[in-house]
Amino acid sequence: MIPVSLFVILSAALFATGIFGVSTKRNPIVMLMGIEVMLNSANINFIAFSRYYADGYIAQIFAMFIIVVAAAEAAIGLAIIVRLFRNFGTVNIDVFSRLRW
Amino acid sequence: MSYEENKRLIVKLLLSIVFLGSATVFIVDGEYPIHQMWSPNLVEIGNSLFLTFGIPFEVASLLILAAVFGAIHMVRREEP
Repeated sequence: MIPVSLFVILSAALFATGIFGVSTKRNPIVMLMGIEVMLNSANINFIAFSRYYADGYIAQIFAMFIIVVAAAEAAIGLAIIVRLFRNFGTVNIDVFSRLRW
Repeated sequence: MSYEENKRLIVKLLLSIVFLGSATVFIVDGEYPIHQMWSPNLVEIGNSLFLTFGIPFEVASLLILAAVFGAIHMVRREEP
């Protein structure tokens, strides 16, 4: 039987990967991917703890709702990136330091 | 890659490695009681998704609809 700490270590590793991607990359699409990786590490934590210590299925419902919110957030984020590319002509994140209309 | 960027990259790598290391230490030190594992049951999940969590399900569908409308409105070109 796999101990639950292995799942939690996997989740922490995924979260660290997401932090590294968000803070290092200069491409907004890659930063969005890092945010998604962090959300999925939270999902892994939810499902592992629920499967080991609770009666089970409620965390999977929660993970489904987290995936729904992540999909909405990805749609809005990609729309914002398209809008920024139209306004500025580039997707380099250093250009967007001023938040203007 | 310039020296400044290299230094910043090393700082960020150290940040995430320190986070991962401290989290791993706390996880390994923690006490986890042993329970029996829950076995997967798709019928239970589907029933609870449509009965117990029916209203949040609909609210999530409305959230996705609003997000898609907002994305389309943001991306659409202005008609002259």
